[in-house]
Amino acid sequence: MNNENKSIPPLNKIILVEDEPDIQTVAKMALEAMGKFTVQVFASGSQVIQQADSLSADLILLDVMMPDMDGISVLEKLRTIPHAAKIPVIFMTAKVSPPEIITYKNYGAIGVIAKPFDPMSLADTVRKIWRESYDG
Amino acid sequence: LLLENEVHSYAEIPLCTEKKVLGVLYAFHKQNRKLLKADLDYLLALANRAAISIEKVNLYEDLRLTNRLLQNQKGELQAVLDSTGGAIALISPEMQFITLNQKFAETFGIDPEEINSYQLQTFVSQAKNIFKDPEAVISRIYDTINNAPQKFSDLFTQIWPIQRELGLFSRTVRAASGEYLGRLFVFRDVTHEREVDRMKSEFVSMVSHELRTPLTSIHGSLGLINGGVTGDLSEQTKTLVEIAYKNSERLIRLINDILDIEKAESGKMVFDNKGIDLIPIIKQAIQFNTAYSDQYGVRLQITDSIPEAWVFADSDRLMQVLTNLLSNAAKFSPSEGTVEISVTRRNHYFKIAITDHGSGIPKEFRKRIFQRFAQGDASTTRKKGGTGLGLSICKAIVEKLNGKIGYISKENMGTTFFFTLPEWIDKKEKGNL
Repeated sequence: MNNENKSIPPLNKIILVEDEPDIQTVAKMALEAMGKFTVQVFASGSQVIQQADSLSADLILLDVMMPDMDGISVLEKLRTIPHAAKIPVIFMTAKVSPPEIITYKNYGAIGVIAKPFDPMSLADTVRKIWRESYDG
Repeated sequence: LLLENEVHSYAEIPLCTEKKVLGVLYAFHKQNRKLLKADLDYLLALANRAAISIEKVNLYEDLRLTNRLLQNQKGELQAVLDSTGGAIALISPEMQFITLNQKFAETFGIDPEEINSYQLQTFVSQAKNIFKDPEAVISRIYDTINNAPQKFSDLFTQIWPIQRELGLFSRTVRAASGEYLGRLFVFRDVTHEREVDRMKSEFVSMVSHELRTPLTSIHGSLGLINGGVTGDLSEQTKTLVEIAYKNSERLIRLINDILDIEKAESGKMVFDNKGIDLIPIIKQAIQFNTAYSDQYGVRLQITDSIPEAWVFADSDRLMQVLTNLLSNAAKFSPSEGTVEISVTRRNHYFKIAITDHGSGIPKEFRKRIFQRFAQGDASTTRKKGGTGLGLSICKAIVEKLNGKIGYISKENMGTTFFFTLPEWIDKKEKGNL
């Protein structure tokens, strides 16, 4: 991914995996209104895994602390499903201590967004992480 | 009396040692006779032997008393040692136990009857059964007996006779004359304290996370309304939404600060220290805080600097300290004022000073300025929007980086907050950066 010569693909479709309905609403609205993205919401890790074969997304925004499967387990599982294995993942979580961030990166996340996030700059932050993952 | 006893002649010979007269030897005779030289020599020899004997008896008596006193003191000391909660061992420079207390026997499963003859060698050979990491304990003891800091503390896990966590405190022991007697090792059961600490940390972390979840929704919703995503607002609604949004931000800062202070106190604050130049970090901190200081009409200005200032530190944590001090200085500056930043070097330490020209720190508040939730007066929190945790976090960070933090404040003249950091001298590593 970190190939400087590679052009940066467009970012349009985002999947949001988040168990809190209120955060789903806010994040979806922020991404759609400010970033003009198309956002599909999944309320749990198992839901997104079940539909992994038919996912259509450029990027997954993944919560970490969820009741059925935590974000890291979801990411690990997605990496074993060929259709979803290469979709970049950004964790969006309140657990952002330096060792936790290192763990997320080690699992292959391209970035981490801390909760509570700033809704007005959320789309810009997502685009920045997306760009940096290609720029290296 | 002498005549009554028909004594007609006598001699007095002092019983002397080198230092003092112990008594007098009297020799009486019923005849009136003159003392001959032979008599005198005999009496002197007799007196001399008597003096030596008396001296010996006195010395023996003194020794007996001293010995009894020492035994008493040893008994008292042993009683004190036995009554403390820690397992205590005093080890000589020759690697021998000098003193062990009963708690030591109890802690490490040694027969109390054998404690007086228990050897360090035996303890070392049994360590593999006693500790989870016996090598660490043994090397800590052997490596520190003759060359180590005056004091240190450490933590070990015991697996036998029972599973527990032991805190080790150690310090050197010297006689009043300064002679090195050995090193004291005190093992203390800290299982319960560690468990309480763990529970506290988990609780704070859990509560903070639980608070962040609803705050994400509140802050996000208000942010979108405030940002005009949902359409235009009336002036009144806009004011109220702004108030709510600003306060949700304050709550977020407070939660972050509580988590930070908890981490600092439990020693879990993570530092990714590297050799870094302070000057660009200070410039960046000024840049980051300019928008904030502009709100107060305050200018941030470097007034004194040096070309470079290399320290071994975590740049994010340094940025946290600088942001805290710069935003405080801006908040407490008069409008149109200037906050001055200086960096100086002295005795292998860098000093970063941030000066405002505000009203100064009230005298009654100065003593507790670095304490948690310390703020000048109740209205300050509302007016200035701080959490009251910033300076105690700064102190924890600076001290963790082996520096010091302080301030000089003059009423109606202003305040200078400063912190020092040791110079990073490892040029070789610096060259590789």
